Amino acid sequence: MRDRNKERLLAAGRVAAAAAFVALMPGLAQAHIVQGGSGGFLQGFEHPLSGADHLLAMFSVGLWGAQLGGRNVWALPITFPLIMVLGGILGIAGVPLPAIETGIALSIVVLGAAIAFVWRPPEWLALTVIGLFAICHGYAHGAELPVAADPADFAIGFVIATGLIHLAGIGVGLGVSRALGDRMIRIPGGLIAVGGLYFLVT
Amino acid sequence: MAEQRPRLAHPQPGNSKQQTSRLARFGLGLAVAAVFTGVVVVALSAGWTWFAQGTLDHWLLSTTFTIERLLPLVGAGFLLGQLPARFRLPVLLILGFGLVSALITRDTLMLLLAPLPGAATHFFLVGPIACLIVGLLLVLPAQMRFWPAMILMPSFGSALGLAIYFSDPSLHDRFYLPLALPVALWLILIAALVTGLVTAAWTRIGVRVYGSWLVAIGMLYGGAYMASKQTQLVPPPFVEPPPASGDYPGFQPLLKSLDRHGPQRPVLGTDHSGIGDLPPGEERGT
Repeated sequence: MRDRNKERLLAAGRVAAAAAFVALMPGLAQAHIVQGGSGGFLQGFEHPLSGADHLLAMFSVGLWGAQLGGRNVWALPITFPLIMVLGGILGIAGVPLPAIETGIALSIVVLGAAIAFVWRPPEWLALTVIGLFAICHGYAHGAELPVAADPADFAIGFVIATGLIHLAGIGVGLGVSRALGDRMIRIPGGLIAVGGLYFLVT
Repeated sequence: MAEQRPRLAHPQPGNSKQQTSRLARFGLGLAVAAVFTGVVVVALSAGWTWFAQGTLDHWLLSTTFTIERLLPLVGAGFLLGQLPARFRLPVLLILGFGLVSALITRDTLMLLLAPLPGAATHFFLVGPIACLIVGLLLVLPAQMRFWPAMILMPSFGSALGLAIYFSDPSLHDRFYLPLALPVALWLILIAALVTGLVTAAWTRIGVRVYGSWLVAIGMLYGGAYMASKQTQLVPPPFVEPPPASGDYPGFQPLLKSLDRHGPQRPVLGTDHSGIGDLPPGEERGT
């Protein structure tokens, strides 16, 4: 019994350390549409990581998939980049879309709240929600692509980084639910939703 | 008298299983030997370039190991590795057919691809096309991949062949193609071997996720090339020349270092006579 408690304590410590690391990461600026300048693989890879709003949204996609379980574990992270392409093309073509930044902030609130309140919609609805927000994120990336010095490497960089954040979300979700139980995933979900509210207000 | 074993008219199930496993082991051994040989060839090629040139900047395989080339190659390997064993050879052969035919008919292919926006200035978009084809095939469920692969793999092979041809870092070194083509196939083989050996359920999911990344990369970077805001050469902005001063503009000494002491050519005189002035302290000889 004591060993079990010790294991739980250790697991909670690890999760807390990981959360603290993420929370204290420097340079978590708001994601942005850069109006010029250069970009290659590293800049593309850095783009989703350097903006807290992109990072939180991608992470919650993985976390939500892990919480929903079953086919959703992989269906959500596969759907997200495929739909993100549509938004990316709209951004590349320069089609004006209103309130993209608001959509991105809203994606964090909705996904965080879905995790916190353990919302389990039917698969098609979950994919629709993910798809709508993927368009907003893709647009922000796509608008930046044509001005990047090396669009190929920029696109490769940010798609890989996005995928890796999804995988991190899935990994944390599955790891936390195994070590500490399903309820513990609700806590990061709530924190993410609060972060989304901050972006929505500011 | 020793009892003779009866000859079997039909292979027994046990024998067939044994034969299959022996064949599989032979195939695996062959693949491992090919991987090892490839490592040796790549290392020798890099070492040779390093010793000859002191740098790997002009290494013949430097463009083969770039991320935009590796991603579709690894994807094609994953595709092959997850196909049932009997389907692997036809898909590999048709890929090889596409690759070789692209090298033979490259001019025709370039003409076909040229109308795409931004094609001529971005290697005829062969990189995004390769990513897109492999990504689409990988996103499909594993059991539905064979026939689409048979249809699309020649196009992937052609895109790959053209990409290899375009990215010759040596400007027509005769060893480039004989080295780059087998190394590309070798990279596919390594990825196929890994996915063929690791058959856990999560690898199928992982490969589909990877496929979705490839589709996104292909669409986005192809789109970025097509939507590139600068598609033609633009001359520099016109700068109005300064007003004429009557001092023979353009003939003044430009650099002070050229005005140093010592014998020098006489410059045009200030009296506009055509007879040049001499530097101060020097006299005109006879």
